[in-house]
Amino acid sequence: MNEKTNEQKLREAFEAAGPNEQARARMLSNILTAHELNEQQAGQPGQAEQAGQAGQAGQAGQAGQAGQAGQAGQPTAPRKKLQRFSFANYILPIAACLALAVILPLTVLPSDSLFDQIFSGSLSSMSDSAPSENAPDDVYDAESDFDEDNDQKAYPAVSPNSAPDSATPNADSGASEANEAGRTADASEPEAGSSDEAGSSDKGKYGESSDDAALETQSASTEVIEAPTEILEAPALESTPAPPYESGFDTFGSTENIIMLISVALCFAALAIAAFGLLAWVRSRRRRAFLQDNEQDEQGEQDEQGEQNEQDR
Amino acid sequence: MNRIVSKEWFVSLSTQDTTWFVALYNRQADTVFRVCRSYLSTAADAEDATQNVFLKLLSKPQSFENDEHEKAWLIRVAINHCKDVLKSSWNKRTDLESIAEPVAPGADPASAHDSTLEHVRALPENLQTCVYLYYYEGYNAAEIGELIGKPHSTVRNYLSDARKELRKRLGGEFDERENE
Repeated sequence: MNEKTNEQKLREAFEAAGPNEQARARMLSNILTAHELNEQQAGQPGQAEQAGQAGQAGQAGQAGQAGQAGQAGQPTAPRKKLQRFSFANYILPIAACLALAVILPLTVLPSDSLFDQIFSGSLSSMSDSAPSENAPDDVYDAESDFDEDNDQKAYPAVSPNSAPDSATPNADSGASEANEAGRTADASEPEAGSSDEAGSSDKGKYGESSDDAALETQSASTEVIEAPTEILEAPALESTPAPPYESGFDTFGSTENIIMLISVALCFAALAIAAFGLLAWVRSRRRRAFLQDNEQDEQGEQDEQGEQNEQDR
Repeated sequence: MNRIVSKEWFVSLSTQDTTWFVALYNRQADTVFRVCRSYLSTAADAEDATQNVFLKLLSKPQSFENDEHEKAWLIRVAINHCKDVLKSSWNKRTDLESIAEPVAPGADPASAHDSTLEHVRALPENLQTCVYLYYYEGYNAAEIGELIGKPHSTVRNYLSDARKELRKRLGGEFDERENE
């Protein structure tokens, strides 16, 4: 008796679980409404893309909402379908953020504040560090001082021993020529004593040789002058301290700082949007693969069922 | 067959396209709803699932060989849809409204039926389906195996487990000879 009772209980419970007339009518009206809405959406050219996948799982989702609304007695709009991934949705905001990040400081800041200060500061620091403006004065002074000193030392350098030790090879050659001239003068003195003509002629030779030696010594001294100018340039560079490079930033106000912060924040926002776009792209690819697998499974099941039915027949 | 319940919609829509559907709906709506009700906890969810199943049929018309083929297809689609609903994250939320109230002693028969149905619904999904198809729809183990995509031996095990579990909950015995 109990066996029958249990099975009877189950049958009665399932029988009682069936829909009543009102529920059946409500479901039918909702189904037909949802179907009509789907057909309307598929027929409209503007929404053809959204309804392009009608007949797939999308219609079932739309019917789901229609069914929920059917309990309240009013059909609602179909459920929003899964949007396809589009790079334009992310590229445009990224470009806008980057453009704002660049344009905002250029346009909002006063012309003499940010970039001018940056460029002027950098240019002034570059000009301060260049030797073209300040160095020539020092070099010129050093050269003139050197000339004054060397004029006194250069003329005695007519004597062969007065050539500066620090002279260049050209100066050495000049001094050696001067020495040779001195030696020839010294060597010709006894000859001058032996005959006047020879002496006069020797004096003439003397004079010529001494003049040539003096000229050569002068040219040697001028050549000697050129070398220390090159040496003196280095201390001139070291003696001029370069202005600090970041001096242009010291005068920044709070407004400029805020605008710079906004620009940096816009850059980070662009990066964040790019990251979200990448994530959405990956998710859309996974979703698409999942839907394709489902469609293939359903198609395979239907084919199998059809084959089984044919075999049963 | 005369249970055409929505004359307004029947008239307003193109009758040539939906006549076959209304007739089919009147034949199979109860079965689909009961299958969905055996899976889902509330009647509202079962109604939604039933509508979705029939809407799938309406959007993709199938050519059925007979009523049994039609019924089997709808049951199969209903089972798959209910599994999808149960897997969805929305349905995994537990709220107080979805918990059935206990049946008081001496309650009306409808409440007793609900209690029996709750016991069935407490079974695992495969067992619920097997119990419904076996005890109400009258399918045998092999047919149930074809419907749910399992071997008939597995279906027999399912039925045995379901009876064992229901025996604990409902008391009494089942006639297991019907199983063969």
